[in-house]
Amino acid sequence: MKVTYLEICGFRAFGTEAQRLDFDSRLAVIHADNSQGKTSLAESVEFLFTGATTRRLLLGGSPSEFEDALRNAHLAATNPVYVEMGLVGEDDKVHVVRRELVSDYRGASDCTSRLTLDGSECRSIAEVGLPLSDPPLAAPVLLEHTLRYAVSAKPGERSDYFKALLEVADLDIVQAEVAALVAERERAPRPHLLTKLSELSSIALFDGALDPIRHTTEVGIIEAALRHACHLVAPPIDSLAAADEPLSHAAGRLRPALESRQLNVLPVVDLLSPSPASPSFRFSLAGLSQSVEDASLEEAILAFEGVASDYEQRVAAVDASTAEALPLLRVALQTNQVTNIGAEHPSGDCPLCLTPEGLTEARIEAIRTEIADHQNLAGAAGQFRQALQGLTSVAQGAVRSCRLAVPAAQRWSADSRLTHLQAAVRLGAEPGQLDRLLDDIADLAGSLANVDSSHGTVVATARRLSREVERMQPLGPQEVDDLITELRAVDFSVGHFTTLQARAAASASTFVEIVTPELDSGTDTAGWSTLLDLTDQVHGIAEALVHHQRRSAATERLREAGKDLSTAGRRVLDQRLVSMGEEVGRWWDLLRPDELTVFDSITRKGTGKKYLDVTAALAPQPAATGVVRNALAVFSNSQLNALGLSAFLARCTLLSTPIVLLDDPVPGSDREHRSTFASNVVAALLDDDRQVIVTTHDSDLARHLHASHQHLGVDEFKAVLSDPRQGTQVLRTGDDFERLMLDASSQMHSPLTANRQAAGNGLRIAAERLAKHVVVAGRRRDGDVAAALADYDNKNLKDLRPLATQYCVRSNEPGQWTLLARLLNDADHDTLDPPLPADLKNCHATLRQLKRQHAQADSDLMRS
Amino acid sequence: MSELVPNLAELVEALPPASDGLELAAAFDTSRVDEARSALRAVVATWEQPPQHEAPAASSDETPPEDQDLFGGPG
Repeated sequence: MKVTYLEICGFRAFGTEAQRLDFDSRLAVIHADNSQGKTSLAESVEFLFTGATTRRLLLGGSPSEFEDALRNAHLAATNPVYVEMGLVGEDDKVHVVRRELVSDYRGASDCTSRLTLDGSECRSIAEVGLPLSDPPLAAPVLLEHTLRYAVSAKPGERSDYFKALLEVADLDIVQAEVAALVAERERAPRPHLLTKLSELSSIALFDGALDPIRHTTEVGIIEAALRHACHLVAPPIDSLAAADEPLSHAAGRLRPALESRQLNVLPVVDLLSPSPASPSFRFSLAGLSQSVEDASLEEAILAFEGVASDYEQRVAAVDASTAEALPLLRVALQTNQVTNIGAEHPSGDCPLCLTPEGLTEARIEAIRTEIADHQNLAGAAGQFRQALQGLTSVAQGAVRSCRLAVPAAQRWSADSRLTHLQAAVRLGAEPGQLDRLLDDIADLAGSLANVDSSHGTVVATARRLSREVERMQPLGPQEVDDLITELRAVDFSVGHFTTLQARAAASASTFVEIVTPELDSGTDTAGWSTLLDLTDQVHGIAEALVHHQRRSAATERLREAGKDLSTAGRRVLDQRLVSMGEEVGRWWDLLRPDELTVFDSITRKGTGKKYLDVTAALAPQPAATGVVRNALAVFSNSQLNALGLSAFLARCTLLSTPIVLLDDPVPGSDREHRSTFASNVVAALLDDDRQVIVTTHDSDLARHLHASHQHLGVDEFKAVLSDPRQGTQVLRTGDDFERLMLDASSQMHSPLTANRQAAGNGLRIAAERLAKHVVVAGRRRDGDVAAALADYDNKNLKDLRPLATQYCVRSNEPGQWTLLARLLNDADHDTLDPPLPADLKNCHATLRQLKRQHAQADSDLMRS
Repeated sequence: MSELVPNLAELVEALPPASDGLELAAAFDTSRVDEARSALRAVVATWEQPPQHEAPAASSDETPPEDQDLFGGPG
C-alpha cells in the first residue's frame, strides 16, 4: 500500500486553498521553519487516521482547553475542513480516503468527523487496510509531544503506553470483567434465611446446636439442629420425650414461653398477623363450564349466569306446559266415564289418578312437579345450587382468611396501648412509630368490617335464591344480578383489605426488627423469635443452603478461572515483551550503534498489570557484558529520545504499518544522530517496504535524508506560512525549479539590492532549468531518446532561448523567452543594478506560466 | 477474531486445555462489552445448575467440603 498524495484544507494552520502533496517516492521530506505549519501537517494525518488529536489527550489540562482547536482560527464556519489521502492498494487502483471535520472540540465534548472511502462512509481507517494501534497513540504518526511521552509519563501511564504499543491492553478487559463479576458475586447479599441462621449462630447459646447445618443441606439434620436449639430454651420436658419430639412441637412449646416473657414488656407477637391474608378468589367450574379448575371471579360469574339462565328457561317451560294441561284435565273430569268412576271411589279421590280431591292447588302443583320431572327442571336446579354454593364458599374462604390476618393488637385496651407505646420507645422505636402501626392495624380491622358486611349481603341473597330454587320456583327479579354485584363488592373489599394488610405487615416487620434486640435482651430471649421463624421454614432453609452452596462453588470456580486467565494474559504479555524488546533493540542499534550504554529489555514488574521495567545495559568497554540498570535512571535526554523513537518504530514493525510519519524525530540538540537516523533508520524502514514521511525544521536533517536516499528519489517539500489567513503553503522543492522559484519569491520584493540580485539570479537559473527541460522533453517527443539535461551543461539563458523557442506551445512564448533573457541576464552581473521588483515579479509570473503551459502539454516535462 | 479482544486467540492458546478459563474466554468473542458480560454471566449460571441426574429438590446429594461454612461464608 502506498500513499500517492495528501491534501489538507482548513485544518489548524492550513487555509481555504487545499494544499496537495504528491508523493512519487517512498520517502518524503517536508522542511519548514518553526511555526510554519509542519506539526499541523503531521497532526492532520493523525486526524485522518483517528478523527482526534493526541495533543488533547496527552497534553490537555482540561478538555475545554482544546475548544475549536482543529479548524483554522481565521476560517469562516462554512469553510470545509478536511484531510484527504490517495492510496494505492493491492488492486493498483487509487482509493481516496477522506475525513471531514463535522464539529470541532467544544468544551468537554469530542470533535466529530465523517470518514469516507471513495465517497462511501466508513467507520474506521482500519477498514481501508491501515492498521491502528491502541489509544492514545493509535496512528502511525510520531509527534514531538508523543516522542517523550513514553519515557516521561508516570510509571502507570508508561506501562499503559507500552501495553498500547504491544497491543495487549485488550486482555485487561477480560481480567477486569472477570474480577468485577467475582466482586459483584461476593458483594451480593446472602439469602434472607441464611442471614437469619448466621445471626442466630452468632449467639453463643445456639452456636453449637446449629453447627451441623454449616456442613449439610439435609432436611433431617436441619430439623434436628433447630429442635436442639429449641430444647435449649423451651420449658424442659422428659429427655426421652425430647428425643422424639417433632420440631413443630418443640417450637409450639417455645412460642408461648417467648410470648409470656414478652407480654410484660411488649407483646410484639400481637402486632404480627397470626396468618397472613391470602384470599383466593379462584373458582372451580368443573361440571358447570369447560372443566375450568382455576377460574377468575368474572369467569365464574359468566358460568353462573349460564346456569341461572338455563334454570329460568326450564321454569318458564314447565309453567307453560302446566298451563296448557289444566284446561284439558278440567274437561276430562267432566266426562261421564270419569264421573262414574267416582262411584267406585267413594273417597272422592280424583277419578283420573286417584289423587285425593280434584284440581285443587295441591293437585295442580303435583301435576306441575310431574311435568317438571319431564322437563328436567330438577337437574337444572341442582346445577344452580351447586354453582351458587361454589361462589359463596370461595367468598367465605376469602373472608375467613382476612379474619385470621388481623393482628391481636387491635384488641388492646386503651391502657395497654398507652403502656406499650411507652415501652416501644424505651426499646428503641421512634416516638409515634408504634402509634402509626396500631393505626394501620385499626384500619385493617375497619376494612375487615367492610369485608364482613359485604359478605353478609351475599350470604342473605344466596340463601334466598337457594330456597326458591329448592322449591323449583322462578327466581325473583334482579336477584341473580344482585348476587353478582354483591360478589364483586366482596372481591373489592377483600382486595382493599389485602393491600392494607401488606402495609401493616411491612410496618410491623420493621418495628419488630428495631425493638427485638432490646426486647430480647430485656426478656432474656435473644434469638428466640428468629429461631421460631426458622422452625417454620426448614425446607426453605435447605433450599437456600443448596442454592448458596452452588453459588459459592461457582464463584470459587470463577475466581480460579480468573487466575488462569491472568496467568495466560501474562504469558501473552511476556511473549510480546520479548518481541517488543528485540524490535526496540534493533532500532536502537541502528540509531545509536557502537555505544556502551544501550537499551536492554522491557519486562513486566510483578504481574505487569500496572508497571513495566525498561532496562539499559551499561558496558565498560565494547563487546563487554553490560550492567543492567533501569533505563530511565541512567539514560541521558538524548538516549531517552532515542528510546521513545525506537519504541515507536518497534510498534510500527510489530503492527506492519505500511506508512510512518515522523515529526522532528531527531531533536535539534541531537545533531550527531541525524546521519544514523537518515542513513540507518530510514533505510531500514524503506527496506521493510514502508513509506516514510518526515517533517522537520532541521535543514541539516532534510539534507542528510536527501543525500542518503537521493538514489531512490526523495519527494521534498517546503511549508511556508506567510499569511495566517491564507494558511500554510506547501511547495515541492525537490526539483530545483520550484526551490529556486520559492527562494526568489521571498526576496524579489526586497528593497535591498543584494536580495533582489539573489532573486534575479535565482530566477535566471530557474529559467535556464526550465528551458533545458523544455528542449530535452521536445527532443524526446521527436524520438531522440538519448536527449539529456547534461547535453546543455554550461549553456546560459541567452544560449538556451533560441533552442526553447523551437518547442513553443503558445504563440506569445518566443516573446516571453526574449523578455526573460533580457531582464534576467543582467542579474548575473554584480556590477549592474539588479532588476526592479516589478520586473522580477513579471519574470516570476512568466516562468510560472511557461512551466504550467509545458506541463499541460507534457506531464513528464520535469522528469527528464 | 474477536473485535472486543483482538488477542483472544493468543490468550486461549496460553490457557490450559479444557479449562474453565477457556469457557470464560469464549464469552469475549464479541464486539461489545455488554454482550461479553451477559455471556460471562450465562457461563457462570450454568456452573450453578445442579448435576443432570439430580432432581430440583430441596436437599442435594452434593456433599459440601468439610471446611465449608454454608451460611457463614461470603456469597
